[in-house]
Formats: sequence, C-alpha cells, structure tokens
Amino acid sequence: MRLSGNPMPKNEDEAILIDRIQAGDEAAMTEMYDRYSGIVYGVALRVLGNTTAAEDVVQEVFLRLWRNPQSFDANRGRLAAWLAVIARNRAIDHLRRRPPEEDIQGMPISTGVNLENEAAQRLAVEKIRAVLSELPQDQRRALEMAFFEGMTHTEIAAKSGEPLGTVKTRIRTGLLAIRKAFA
Amino acid sequence: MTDHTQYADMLALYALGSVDAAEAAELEAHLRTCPECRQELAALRGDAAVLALSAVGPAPPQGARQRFVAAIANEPRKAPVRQKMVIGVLRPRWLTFVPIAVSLALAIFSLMLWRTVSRLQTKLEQAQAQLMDTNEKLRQAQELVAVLHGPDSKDFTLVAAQQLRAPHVKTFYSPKVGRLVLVAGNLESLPPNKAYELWLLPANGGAPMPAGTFKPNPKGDVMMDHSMSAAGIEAKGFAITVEPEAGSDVPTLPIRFVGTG
Repeated sequence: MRLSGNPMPKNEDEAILIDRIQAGDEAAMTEMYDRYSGIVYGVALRVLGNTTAAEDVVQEVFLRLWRNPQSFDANRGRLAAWLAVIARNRAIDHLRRRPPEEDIQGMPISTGVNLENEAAQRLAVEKIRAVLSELPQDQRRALEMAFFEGMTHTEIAAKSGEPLGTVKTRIRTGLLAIRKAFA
Repeated sequence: MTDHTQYADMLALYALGSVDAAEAAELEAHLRTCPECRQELAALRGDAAVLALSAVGPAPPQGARQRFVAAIANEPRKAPVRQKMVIGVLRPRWLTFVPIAVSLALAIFSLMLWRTVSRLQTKLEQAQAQLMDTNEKLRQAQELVAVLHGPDSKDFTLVAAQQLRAPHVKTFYSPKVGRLVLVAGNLESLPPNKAYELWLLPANGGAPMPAGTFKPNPKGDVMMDHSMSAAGIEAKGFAITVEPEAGSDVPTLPIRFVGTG
C-alpha cells in the first residue's frame, strides 16, 4: 500500500543511519538492530506467544529492511513506530500462516513520541502501560484483540457479544486516548 | 454527516488492520481522494505504534543477533541503482522483436517448469505410497509384538503324544486382540492333502474352536499368525490334530499335540 501523507519532521540521526544502510554499511544495520530489535521482538512475542517464532519475525523484519532500505522513508515517519507496526503485521501473518499481506513500502506513520534511544523507549513503554491500565477494561480488551490478536471488528463483536458499533467506537476512542496521553 | 465522520471509526480499525476486505476497499477509495483522512490515518497508525510498545519486554536472545549479523554478512548489498530520466530515444528496429523473444522464452520456461512440477508430483505420490506401505507393515509388527509381549498373552508349549524327533510347538495367544502366533519345529511331514489344524480349547469348557491350519516346511519348521473369529475368547489350552488341507469344523482324533496353561 502506498498512500501519500503529510511530510513528517525528519529525524536526522535516523536518516543518516538509513543512508548508511542504503550504502551497504553492515555496522549501521547492526546498530539499527541493537536500537530497535527489542521493540520488534516484544511485539512479535506478544502476538505469537512463542520465542522461536518471534525471533523469526525479528530476523525477517530486519532482513527485509537490509534488502530494501528505501522501503522506509524518513520523511514519512519515525523508524521505531514504523518497525513496531511492521512487526505486528508480520507476526499476524505468521499467526495466520499466510504470506506477507501488505507492501511495507511508504506506509506513513505519524507520532511525536520520542523512541530514538533506550531511555526514551523505556519511558514510553512505562507510560503506555499506565495509560492502558487506566482505560476501561472493555476498551483495552477491544484494542488488544484488534491489534495483538489480529481480529476484525466483526470477530471482536461476535466474541465479546457487544454490538458492532460499540466495538468500533471503543477502538477509536481507545486510540485517541493514547494520542491524548502522549500529546 | 460528512465523509470524515462517516469514516472516522473505520479509519481507526483500518489503522489496526482490523477491517474486512470489502470495507478496506471502500475506505481505500475514499483515502485516495481525501488528504485529511490520510493524515488522520497516519496519526492513528502512530497511536497503534505506541500501543505496540506496551508489549516491549526483554531483548531478543544474543543468538538471534549473531544469526542476523551473519545473515547480513552473507548478503552484501549492491549500491542502489539510480534511475536516469529519459526524455526521448530513437529505438533500433530490432528492439521491436524483443517482446516476442521474451514471450517465447517465458513460454519455454513455463513448459520446463510444468514438466518439473509433474515429475515432482509423481515422486511425491510414490513417496506417499511407500509411506503408507511402511505404516501398514509397522502396524502389523506392532500387533505381533502385542501378541508376543502383551500383558494378557499366555504361551502354551505343546508336546508330541509319541515323541519321535522331539517336535515342539509353542503358541502365543492374546485374547484381548483375538490373535495368536504359533511357532513349531521338527514336525512330521504330512501327505499333500493333509494339514495340521490348531484348536483353541475355550476356558469355559466349550467345544474346541478352529484356530488355523498350517503345514511345516521340509525341515518340519513352521510359524503361523492367526486371528480368531472374535476377540475376548479366553483359552485354557490348545490342541493340534491332522485334518484335510482345508481344515475341519471339529477335530479328528487322534490329538497330535496338546497343551494347557
């Protein structure tokens, strides 16, 4: 999928790293792995519940980036956020034993959350956990079923016994609550 | 209701990859014409990425890092090819035939591919048949082992009423599976139209039941694997008589061998 979005403020450090990777710099790729593999692994492990499968997703996500670094456009989002979403999508593909469903190129992701170093990532992780713990349980569960279990809103409604409209609204307001907390 | 409010909930679901295919197609059509919704989708994806962080835990094992480093070392990448902007070019005449040649090459390649697939399919079918055959043999062997070593198996040694060449007969019988194995040696040879017949002597005192006919080899040795007509028949012993080759319904005296548990 390639949809045009508004330009994001470019992170120079990430842009340099991507440039080096595009030039075939293995050290730069390893640096990127060290910086973000925790995010990718954590997301994949949450979705798959299996360390071996999660390691496979980590390997796949970073190898795809190594083979095709131009798939990430530093003008259109932050690398950490992009990797988190890609990791989730690949893990869901593994869960359903299907080939990659979505072209990873050019997926714009807009977030102002700073995730560029370990300390910033740790702070953000603690904060999102606190935000989720304060959400109503039904709302949190709907978000988790959609994102970490890859269920459609129809499946969530069937499983939870809630009307379809309620499920849709819960998911949207849940995401907006996250945005507001990090604004 | 504007388009944006109409699509608001759907955008959130789309950002999480949680819409059905038909709804996704409708939404993507709208996104192509609506920069505002595209912007909102990017923001919702950002929110989803933050949600993903809630799953962050321990780092992947060191072994995974080593595998990754080794993998990229094995895949040195070429520098990206920069595309040139072409304003216009005169094309040589022979280039006209390039698409035809490419099509022909593709057709030949497809044919070769099809033949390879057919060959592989045949091999797969042969392997499956072999596997089924092996499984059947394994099943029979397991049943045999159950008869020989089953917890309910009893063995009976039958001796000759008139011992001439020290013939011996041993039976292993499992009432649970209704199957028996007979092993005998030094048996006297029989006329061509005669055979030995084994009789199960029921524990409840019932009439002897046919338990298989057999003929020894020229050395007098024989092994017989026989399934009874039903499982669960307890035996107090076995006896052997000489009968017509097709077997009899009742034993013909004299009894040549007998053994009771």
